[in-house]
Amino acid sequence: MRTVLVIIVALVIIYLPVRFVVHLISPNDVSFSNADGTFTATEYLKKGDDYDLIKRRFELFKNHVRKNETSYVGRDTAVLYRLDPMRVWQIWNYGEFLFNDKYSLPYKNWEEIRQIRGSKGNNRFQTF
Amino acid sequence: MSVTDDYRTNLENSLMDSLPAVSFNQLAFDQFKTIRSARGLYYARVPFRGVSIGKKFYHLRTDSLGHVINGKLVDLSELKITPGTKTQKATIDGRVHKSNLSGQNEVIELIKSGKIQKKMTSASLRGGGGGGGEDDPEEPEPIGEQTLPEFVLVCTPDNSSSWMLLDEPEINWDFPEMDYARYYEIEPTTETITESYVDVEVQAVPPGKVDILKLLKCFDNISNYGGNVTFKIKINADVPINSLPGAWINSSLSPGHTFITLTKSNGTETISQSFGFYPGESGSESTIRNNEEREINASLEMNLSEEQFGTVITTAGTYAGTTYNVITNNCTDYALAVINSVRSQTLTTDPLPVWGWDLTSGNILPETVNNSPQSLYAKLKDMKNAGGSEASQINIDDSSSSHAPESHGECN
Repeated sequence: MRTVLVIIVALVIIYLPVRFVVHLISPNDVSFSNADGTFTATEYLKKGDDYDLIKRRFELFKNHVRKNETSYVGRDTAVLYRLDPMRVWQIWNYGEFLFNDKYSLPYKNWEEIRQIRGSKGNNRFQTF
Repeated sequence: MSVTDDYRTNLENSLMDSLPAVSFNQLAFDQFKTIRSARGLYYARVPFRGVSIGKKFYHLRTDSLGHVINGKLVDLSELKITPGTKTQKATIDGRVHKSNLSGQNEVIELIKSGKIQKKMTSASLRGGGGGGGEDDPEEPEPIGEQTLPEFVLVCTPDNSSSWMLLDEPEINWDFPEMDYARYYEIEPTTETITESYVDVEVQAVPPGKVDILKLLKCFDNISNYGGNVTFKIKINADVPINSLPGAWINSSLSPGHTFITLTKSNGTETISQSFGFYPGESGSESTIRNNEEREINASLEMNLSEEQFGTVITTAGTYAGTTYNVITNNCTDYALAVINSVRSQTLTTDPLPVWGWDLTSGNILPETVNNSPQSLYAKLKDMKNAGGSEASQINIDDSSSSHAPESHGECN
């Protein structure tokens, strides 16, 4: 009985606060898209898939469009937008908001893009 | 697309003017579906009361306010869909009926194995038309046939269906909640039809992930014949902090990554695929992700024979089905299993002792990680410095300037 009590107390005192702190200090994965949703990507920071990687893939996508995807000609594909807003109450992310390049991208609501694009297609540059 | 009350009112009024009263009164306007195409055109599909929208509906083009521009009646109730299995593709057979809004000028398409075998008018089917059931070129198409885009019939495991427009720049599907979906293109504007079907495994391959089998299948696109065929495998380590290659994690709590690049070339044709093993999501035990453009800090490349390349592909596909575990079966374990399947001298790394928190479970990890990007980096650097037979095949780069080549994507 005493052992069970010790475990429960340990959970409350150590485990839960630590999980909360880990949650707080772990940066959020941010999603990105161009205006017509033909390029979409989401960071996966826990495995190092970060904004720098997404920028390189976006360049690859734009090259691909220029070379192959004639159906995209004239469409608004060349500007990358951030789909996650800067939430003022997330004070632990202020450093990111101020100094991380990805937050200098213009914000666009995903619903607006999704209504233009419709569902995800067969394009390998769309991750959602 | 959000539907306003005005849109629906205009749609109803337009159809009231166009349809026979008996047909109009059977329509279920509370269940109608709309879509705005990538070209900015508006379409609606209106079902009948008591009949699945996947079976029979009015297919309409409208303006942005819901006024009907043209349309036709589509009846799919005579189609029979046989769900596929792991080894057998689904099949679709039967008839598709199409007619103008008033139900006249009916065209019947005979579908076999997902393809249109024949197009007939109802008159010719009864024997009164021009020529033994074949489509009569003089017979006018149903109203709207020439101006409405054709739809793609989407068949799901429960035999319901949805539709997509063929004027979309890409084929889309609308079943993120389904285990899988299949689509069949039915295009009546040509006698012989396009590709009949493609499997879509929505849950098995969640957004952002790739189907390893479809990834590896692309290598079949390059011939094995000719004198210039080459096969290569490269194992790549991306450490979390370049200036501290032994560090467990970086400021984003990433422990780094190890992945594989496979390349097959024949003359001027080359296909590369870079992929790695990741924790599972949405209930899966692991996932494979495309790792094109991923940073490389240390790599070892090997030339392979055709047979060895086949072994690597088999191992990569098989091992992808195992359960990810950050300690015992992580991305480095996967990559080592793939490359070691063709190595005479097994590539091994030193265990990495760690104290940290498993972000998934929240547990303390007083353990050693058997294989890790950090230990692979250290091993490859040692091999390079030792100057052995493989030293020239090893590349070390702490500058963030080496990246994985462009991947080909998936092939069906």
